[in-house]
Amino acid sequence: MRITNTMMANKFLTESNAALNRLAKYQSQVDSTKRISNISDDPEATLLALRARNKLSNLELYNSNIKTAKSYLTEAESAVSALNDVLKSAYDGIVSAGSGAKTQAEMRIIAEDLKNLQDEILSIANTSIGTSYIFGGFNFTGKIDGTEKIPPFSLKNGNLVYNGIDLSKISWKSEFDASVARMYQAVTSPDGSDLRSVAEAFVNDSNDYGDTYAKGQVEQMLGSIKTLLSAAEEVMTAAEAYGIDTNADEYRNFKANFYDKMVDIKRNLETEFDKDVLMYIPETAVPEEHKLSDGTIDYEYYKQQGIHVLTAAEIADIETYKETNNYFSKQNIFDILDGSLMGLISGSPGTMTTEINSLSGVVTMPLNATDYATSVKYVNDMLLQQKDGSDIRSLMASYQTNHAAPAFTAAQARDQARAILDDLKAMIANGNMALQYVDHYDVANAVTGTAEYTAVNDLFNTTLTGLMNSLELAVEADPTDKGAINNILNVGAGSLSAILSDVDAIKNTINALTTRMQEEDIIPLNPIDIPTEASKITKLQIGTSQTADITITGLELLGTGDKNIYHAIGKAIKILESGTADTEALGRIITTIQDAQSSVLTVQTRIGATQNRMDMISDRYFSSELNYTAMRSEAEDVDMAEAIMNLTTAKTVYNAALAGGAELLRTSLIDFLR
Amino acid sequence: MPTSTFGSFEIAKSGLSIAMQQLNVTEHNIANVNTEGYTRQRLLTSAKDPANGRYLVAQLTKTLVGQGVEALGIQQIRSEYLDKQYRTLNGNYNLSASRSTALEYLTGVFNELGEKGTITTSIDKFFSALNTFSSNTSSQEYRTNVQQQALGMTQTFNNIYEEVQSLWHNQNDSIAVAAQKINSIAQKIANLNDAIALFEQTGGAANDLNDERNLLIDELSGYVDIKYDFNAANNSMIDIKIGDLTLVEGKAVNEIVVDSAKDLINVIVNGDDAAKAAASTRLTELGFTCTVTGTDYDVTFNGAELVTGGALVSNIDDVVSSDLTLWVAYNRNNLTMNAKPLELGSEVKSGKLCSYMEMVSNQDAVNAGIPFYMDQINNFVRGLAQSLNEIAASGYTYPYDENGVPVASRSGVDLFYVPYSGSTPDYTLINAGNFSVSAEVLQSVWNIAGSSTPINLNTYPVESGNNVIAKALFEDLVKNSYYDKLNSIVGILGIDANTTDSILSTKESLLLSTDTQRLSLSSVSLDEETTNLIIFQQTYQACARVITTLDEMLNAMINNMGITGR
Repeated sequence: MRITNTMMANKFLTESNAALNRLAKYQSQVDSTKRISNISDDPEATLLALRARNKLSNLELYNSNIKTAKSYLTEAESAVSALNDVLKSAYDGIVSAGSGAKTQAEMRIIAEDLKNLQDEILSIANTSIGTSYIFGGFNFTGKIDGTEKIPPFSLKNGNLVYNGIDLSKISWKSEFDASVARMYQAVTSPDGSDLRSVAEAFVNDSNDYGDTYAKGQVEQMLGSIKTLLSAAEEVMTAAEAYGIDTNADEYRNFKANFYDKMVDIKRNLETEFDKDVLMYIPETAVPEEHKLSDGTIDYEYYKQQGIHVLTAAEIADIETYKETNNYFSKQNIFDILDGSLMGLISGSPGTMTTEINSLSGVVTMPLNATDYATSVKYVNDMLLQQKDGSDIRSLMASYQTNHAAPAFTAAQARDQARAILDDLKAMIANGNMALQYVDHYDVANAVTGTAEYTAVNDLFNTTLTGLMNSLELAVEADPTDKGAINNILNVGAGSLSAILSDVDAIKNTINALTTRMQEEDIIPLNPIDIPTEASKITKLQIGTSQTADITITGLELLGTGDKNIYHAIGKAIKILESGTADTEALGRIITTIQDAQSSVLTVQTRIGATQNRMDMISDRYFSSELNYTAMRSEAEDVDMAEAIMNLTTAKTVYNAALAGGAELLRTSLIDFLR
Repeated sequence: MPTSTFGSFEIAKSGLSIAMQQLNVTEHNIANVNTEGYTRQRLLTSAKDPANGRYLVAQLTKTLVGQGVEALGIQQIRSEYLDKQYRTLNGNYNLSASRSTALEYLTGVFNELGEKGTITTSIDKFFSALNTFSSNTSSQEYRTNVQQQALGMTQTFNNIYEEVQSLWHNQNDSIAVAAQKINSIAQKIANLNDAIALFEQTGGAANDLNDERNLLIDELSGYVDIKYDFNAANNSMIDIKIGDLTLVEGKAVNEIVVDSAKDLINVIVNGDDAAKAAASTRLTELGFTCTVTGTDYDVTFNGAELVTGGALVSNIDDVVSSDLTLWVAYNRNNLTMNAKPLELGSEVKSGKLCSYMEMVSNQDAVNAGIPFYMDQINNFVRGLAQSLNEIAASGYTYPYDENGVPVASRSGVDLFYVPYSGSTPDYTLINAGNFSVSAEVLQSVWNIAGSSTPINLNTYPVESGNNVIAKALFEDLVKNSYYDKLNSIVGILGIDANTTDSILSTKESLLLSTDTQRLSLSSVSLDEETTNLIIFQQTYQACARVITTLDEMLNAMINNMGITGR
């Protein structure tokens, strides 16, 4: 091939430039310690490196979450173990109080101690990290009340409140239900040893009973009655603690119609029970050996033996004899049972059931706050005009239009009037439900006396109820008098349609009440319920699909219902302060506290398990981190030895290219010509 | 057989003059050793026929010698075949080289391997902030961090988009510059055609002008793929075509005309009626829809209104940037020649111009242009904004206003800004350029939704610790695999640039080897010329010696003949 100078020069330039490029590349590799500096250098390695980086940053985030979660859990753990100590002290105190032989003063001291423990529980339950409460569910910051901050657990009128839920009330309601159950158990028990079975058997079969057997049955009944009464007392205590006014009819009736009567019955039965059983022998049956020589009966002997010798006449009327001589009389027992006890405990429904139901009717769980809103919405919806004309106002308007027409028969008129009446009743019922809700929460009567309340009350209970009554009368009295019904519905300022068509006025009345309630802060207008509240656990992401709970809700920690620790201790205090150690009740409290201890232990174990799990994950992340760091490094970092070797080689090549080029380019034939 | 006495002088003289000419040619070669595009020249010589005009005599004798040497012309040593091959390869090489340069800039913009200022790090920081936020949603500090990192992330995208747009504009300008360059080269070629034709009328060869023209054709082949051939009427001239469109025909040039929809729309708005009509025709060619009422035009593109009633719509910038296809069509420089469009793929297949046009226009993954990458990054941003917004909007804000005064907790508050299409928010209008944090979140960090239920500070339930939404926002990082999506964009770009680079190096070595062959044939070798110099010098000396010899012969004949016995 023909070689020219330009070719040589070009080739030299190209090749020395390539050598310089390589040199620069290796130089930058050595300087930056990176094998690739641009994504186009090696796309596969770039993607590998990027993926490793992404994984590493994910791991970093998860690790930081694990750290956060751990600090929360450590704090929770120490709080829980403090709670455990409190429970132990409470347990010791209550056990020693229940062991008897304690004076009232001593019991008061124990009660004081328990009160301190209650305070301690409250402060543990409000443990916080920084400004965040860790047992408050989603209530991290506490409720702000003016300038005051209310922690998740607080006391309101002596009741324990958690995030607006009155835990004490719930606890007392549970107590109430449990005591009611015990009452029923004393009265009706499947094994036949209960009060009702024994009493019924007595009433039916006492003629066949011997006195001694009968007395045994009475003893059994007295035992049941004692249990029943103690349960009834607890029912009343619980109702009272729940917040029932002791002057309320339900409470007074329960006490007067059931409890007091039962106490009387008990007293009567006891009186009867205390009497001796009459031991007697008919005159005719006296054996010869106990007769005197004159043939008369040796009364002295029988007197000594405590045996009466009765005449045939006396035997014929033996019960009267027992009565007169103050001996145990089946008849008297029968009278007590048949006359009063059976009426109390059996029948359908017996007095006991009636009164318990009536009392339970007021000791109900707080109406859900949605009830108020639902009722109000229902009323509002009924005032809306529906397209199909099914709403009350459309029905009334159509009645007004049609009533004079001959084709509108009396039967049709009555059906339509009834439809209107049904709507009206539903509306009044809902209005009353809303009012009832207000009554329920407004313990301090902050709203019930106000004009807003009165307005709503008047609207539903006076105005609308009045119209409803007259409409009902008119419909049922003379269905053919379509005009009378129409007058009630549609004529004049006081007519139903006049009142209902002023929709805004009704709405405003109700809204004013709602506003008033919010102002008084007497009801939580947002629905709160225990299952929802118990699910409010803060979780952190500690893996692609793994989360860790970093909080424990106060509900789980302290328990709810009669299992609530604070409540159980409170109840113990109540018992101790009363000065009589009701060992049975104290025993139940001790069981509750033992249960609480074991559930606190469960929480502790769960915290420990979570921490362990996180440690394990964290360890795994550590090894993943190593892997990904290695992967990243392999993908993007330079092998220094290799790079330096490459650099040296490249430098040598470049030098050689330059030297060779310089040597060759310089010479040409001209150099050798003379 | 008698020969002419002085005829031998003529033979020697021809040798002298040819040697002199050869020396001149060699000098010319040596002088031009470094001239670009210079093709070495040779004096074509031929032995003079002895029968030169004396056929009769020639037939009489068998011992006639030649008449010396004669010059036939000066020849360029050049291969048309190599020229053609070089020019084809040059087009391909320049296509790759210019594409490689553009992609290198683009990979610089998307350099995710860097440690700072990359998209990945900004996303990292944002989600890390969300994560911290999820551990305590009532912390103002954590919320501020989320707000700031969200800002940082959106600004990173904005910056990158801006850079990518500026690269696009750069490539777009390059189209116009390349067209201008092609026009100027074409003009020069036409001028040279003229000059060469004039020169060669006399029968000579305009070698040096030819070199100049060849060099220009070489240069032109780097811009766009051309076809060239001798002019049918005058084969001193070369005609050049781009595709089937004639660029140079003899002395005439069809210049490439550059226009853009943007300029045309300006004419539609401001021009006179004739110009408006012409612009509307051209806009229709470019895919715009023009309807005329009287002399006022409405211009739309895919339903998007640009001009109504002869006036630009007020938010023209927003309208244009709302749709990438429209944005490209609106800003792009378009080329026509003789009122016929120069289209990518049909006329323009290689050369720098092809690369520029691809970079500006291609929205597909094959030979991906900048709009393809813009589209990718826009889709990424859109997906991110929509997903996070939907989560955030389902949650509730913290019940403070920007001054920390308690207000009601709200839902439906977006995290990122969503442009409106009419009166409805339209996520398709989000692009990496307008991606930003929502005004509400900018106004107050308390407006970042973190809770799944309304938060109340002074009524129950107090939900200040509800982190369900905050956690869901963070989880979206993994759930929607943003890293993978981003990496896939980066991967496509990296592989594209890498492939282009390796194609470039293949093309480069091919071009170099062809060029080497060409140089091997055509360029000046000093050694050879020096050798020739010596040869020609010696030829000259030899011829001179012949004359001396003849002279001595004549001297012998004239002075020494016939003096015997004197």
